[in-house]
Amino acid sequence: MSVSNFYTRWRYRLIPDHVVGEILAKPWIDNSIPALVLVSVLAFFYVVTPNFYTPGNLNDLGRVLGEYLFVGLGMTIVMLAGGIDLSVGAIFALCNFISLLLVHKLGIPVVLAIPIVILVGATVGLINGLLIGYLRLRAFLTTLVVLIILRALVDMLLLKYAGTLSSGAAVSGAAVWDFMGDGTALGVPSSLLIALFVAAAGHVFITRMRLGWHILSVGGSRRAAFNAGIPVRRIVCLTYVMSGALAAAAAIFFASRLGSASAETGVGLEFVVLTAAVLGGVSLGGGRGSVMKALLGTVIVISVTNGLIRLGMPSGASVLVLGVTMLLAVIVDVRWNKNRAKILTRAYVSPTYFDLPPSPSTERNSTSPYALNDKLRGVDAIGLGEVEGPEDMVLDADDNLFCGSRLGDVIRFFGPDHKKWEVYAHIGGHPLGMAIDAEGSVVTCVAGMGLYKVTRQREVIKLSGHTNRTLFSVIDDSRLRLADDLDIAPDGRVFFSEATIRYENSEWMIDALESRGNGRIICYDPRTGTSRTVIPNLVFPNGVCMAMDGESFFFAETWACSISRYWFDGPKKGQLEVVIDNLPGYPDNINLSSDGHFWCALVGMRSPVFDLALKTPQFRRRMVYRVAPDSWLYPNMNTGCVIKFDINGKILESLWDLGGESHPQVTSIREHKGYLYLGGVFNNRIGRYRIPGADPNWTGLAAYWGKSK
Amino acid sequence: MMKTLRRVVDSFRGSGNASVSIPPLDGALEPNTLLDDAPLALTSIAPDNLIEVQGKLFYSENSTVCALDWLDGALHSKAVHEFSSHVVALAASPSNGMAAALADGTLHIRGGQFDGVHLKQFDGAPLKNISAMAFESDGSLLLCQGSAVHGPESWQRDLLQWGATGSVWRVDLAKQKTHCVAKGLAYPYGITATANGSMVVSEAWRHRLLRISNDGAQAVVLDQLPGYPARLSAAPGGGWWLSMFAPRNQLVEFVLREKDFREKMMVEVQLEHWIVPTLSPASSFLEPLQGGELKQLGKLKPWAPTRSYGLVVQLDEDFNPVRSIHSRANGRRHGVTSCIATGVMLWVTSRGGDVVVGVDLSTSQEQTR
Repeated sequence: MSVSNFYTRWRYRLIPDHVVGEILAKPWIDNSIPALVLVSVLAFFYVVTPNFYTPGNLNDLGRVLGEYLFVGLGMTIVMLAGGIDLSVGAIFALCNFISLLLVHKLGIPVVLAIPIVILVGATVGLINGLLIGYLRLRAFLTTLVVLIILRALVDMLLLKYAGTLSSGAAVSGAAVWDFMGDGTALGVPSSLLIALFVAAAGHVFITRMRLGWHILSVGGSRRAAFNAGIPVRRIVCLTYVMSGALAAAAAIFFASRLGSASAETGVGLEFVVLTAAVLGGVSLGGGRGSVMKALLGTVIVISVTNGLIRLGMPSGASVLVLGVTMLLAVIVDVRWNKNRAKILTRAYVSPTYFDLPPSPSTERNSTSPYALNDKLRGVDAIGLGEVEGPEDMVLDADDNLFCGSRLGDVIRFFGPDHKKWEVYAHIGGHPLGMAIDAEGSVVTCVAGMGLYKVTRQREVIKLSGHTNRTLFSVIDDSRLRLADDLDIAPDGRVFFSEATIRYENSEWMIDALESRGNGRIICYDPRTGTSRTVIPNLVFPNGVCMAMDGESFFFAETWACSISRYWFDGPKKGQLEVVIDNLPGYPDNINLSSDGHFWCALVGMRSPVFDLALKTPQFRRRMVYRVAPDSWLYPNMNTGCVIKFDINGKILESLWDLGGESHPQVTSIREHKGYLYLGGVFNNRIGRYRIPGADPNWTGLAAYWGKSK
Repeated sequence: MMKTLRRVVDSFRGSGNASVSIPPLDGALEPNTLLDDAPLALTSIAPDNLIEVQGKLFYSENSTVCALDWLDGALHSKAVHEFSSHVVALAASPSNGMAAALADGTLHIRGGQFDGVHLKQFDGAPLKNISAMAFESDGSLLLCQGSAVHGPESWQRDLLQWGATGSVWRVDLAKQKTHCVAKGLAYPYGITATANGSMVVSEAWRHRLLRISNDGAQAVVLDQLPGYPARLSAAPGGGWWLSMFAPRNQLVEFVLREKDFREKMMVEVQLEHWIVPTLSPASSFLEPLQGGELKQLGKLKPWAPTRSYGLVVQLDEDFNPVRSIHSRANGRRHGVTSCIATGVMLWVTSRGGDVVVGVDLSTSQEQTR
């Protein structure tokens, strides 16, 4: 092995590149950018402003943060539904005035004043909501007009009542008022504490409750939400009501803290809050965002404004900085939304180094056991053009043939001629590997769903949908993504393969580009009803077949072009042995043959260029980035063959359909009464090949479970 | 400095020279199945260059030149000239003779005014890879050398090595003098004489047609072709017919930009199994396969990515494409290296499909519009 190969091998063994894509695929990754910004902002001010982190300053900051957070939550809710509320600053000013009027001038008890003020805020929000939600006016213009009207109103009121608002002696419920103004609990300022409480409630509301989901769906796609029967207009209206009420709540804290009203109160608040939300990652387009994002954004904005003031910048400068920040945040928001999925699909594919020895010869008329022939050309076709994607098939004691279809059905062809068929059971996912258990139920691995059983009464029972999660795995590997083939041990335990934990059934070929040990073998134990991973990190494990000694089974690793044997019981329990390595193609399902050996389907053949590409992971990685998926280099899956091997792994014979006229691909074989049945996951038929000299009475079912039905 | 910067930016973004996007088959190049549907066909092993001499058609096959006859609705062929090695290019002379170039680099004239003339040396050395010829006038022959490094059988190697060693020559048959008109071309594979001593050359690896004036000045007349252009022939009513012997393919374009992989592939893998354009559809599972080529429910899709294709394009007087005739990814008549139009018939040699095809242009008018 050359130095560069040696380096490449170890580089890919030691550095887990695939984790990057898995992390990027996590939904919380959206929060990472604002979180990073926040950390750097805090670090910056820690270095630049010496007294940024004094308790006094933090207390002041927290108090302001609490007030802003209320308004920010309201803005976030409106934005999630696809709207915008510019009137929050004016509502804030109005409610501040009314709070002072009620508490200081009219002497109304604080506990009574609070709901009144919130009601006022909600009413203004309702006006917004009615105009925007029901009359379908533009959110931007409507809330702008409401802003102007409210401002004018506040100015007029201030002219009239300005002198009489300052704190009188007769505040009814002064303890509450003072606590709201400058009290702390557990060292946290009152406004922040309550705002955090409301934020937690808001998080539950948005992510767990019906109305929250409705808001998200209206923002995500108004038309789809409408078609789904969601009352779009009412939802939009409600978001403005909530925003108004939350702005009012902020105003009460502001009033209790400063106890004064002026024409400047709340000016520019809508801008600050909007910046905070967008900076946090709440999308201006609606549908994407969370309370956590709003919180992050608000903390950033408050820290920046406060920090700039402490730096001694003129007040204009801090607004300028805020404006530029907002602009940057909007750019990132738009670009990220646009390109996220694109980057993710490309960055997710993470090829690794894989070195296969040179492929054995398949030359026609050679002495190679793989020598090409045309034995499979012109085999009978069952269900031609009627079945779609029979990955595997199995026959019962009455010669009925069961197969899967990509439409999510188990199909039954009636024996013995297999001309008529019916949908035996609808499962919903594409059934892949199949087996019949001792009771005559069809047990099948269903792509994307897990291990299922269809009883003789056609009842569909889910046996297993998950296994134990691996420690430290980034991806949630407890769910079964691509259960592939199974076999049943004499004691009823089901050993089944999960080809890959990184791709869905529609993308299984992409796993070939990675050729990493992404798959595993899992054991389902009917006595406990649970599944445990038995062998992890296999390279696309596929076919599983009992070795008929009651203590071991064979399994194929497709991209590794090898077949191994694993002992699950007996003296060699837990041992793993490679039986065949370096096949000329990609092994799929394995099944018994009547003469005591094993059939194996090769789903596709190796090509020298693909083998070379496996040794150059960077080439495949760049290909994934540069080239359209349809043009990616793949293993050759347009030609397949069937091989027979004995228990020691010696290849006995091979059957070919050169040119792929009838069977471009063979993913499965099943011998039954002298015939070999052929399935293919991309095929539109099941093939039937008469095996010369095979025992015409032999059935797999009897070989497994004895003569009894 | 700016160039380096540009290269870094390009290789990061996949833009500029690092871009692997290929022009779509659109407009006049919209796909059809006319080439595969044409009923008139004659099986032949790798037919190559078609010419018309005095109303009769001739094509090269291996080391012979055959006459093509259309009798009783069927095509027949008859060997008329036999040469000592592969015939790699033909041209019809105005005085009803023909020129034949061989793989060994020699040039032979049969019939017409210069019957029997043959040349071995061009400026003192034999040519390695004569790819196309055209008569300017009876005594003046234009001639393309595809590559000065690789012979005709190694054209794929020339492509992968970014070969640009092709040249265009003018041969004065009377004086037996040769003159190199242009050098440094990326596999010129077709040539036609135009007015005022200028000529148009198809430059395969740069997917374009180039006009070379009498004074040697070069100007692009048509570029960004979706395939590799081969020979040009004049259309009866004005304009030209252009054959394209292989399609461009994103994966091939990508491999062309992957130096290490390309070099390893050329060393470790047999030529037939490379990721390169080919003349004929894949015949072995050892050849590379692209995702879209997977047979779904037993069918290869016509729009699948492919490394071989059959394409003939009609160009107007200004070399703008006006219509095209296709054999798509699931067809067989691929690798068209030459074509010629006579009356309403278009005659095509599908070198990869081992067939000479006659397409009736009058009935196919509707489909190609």
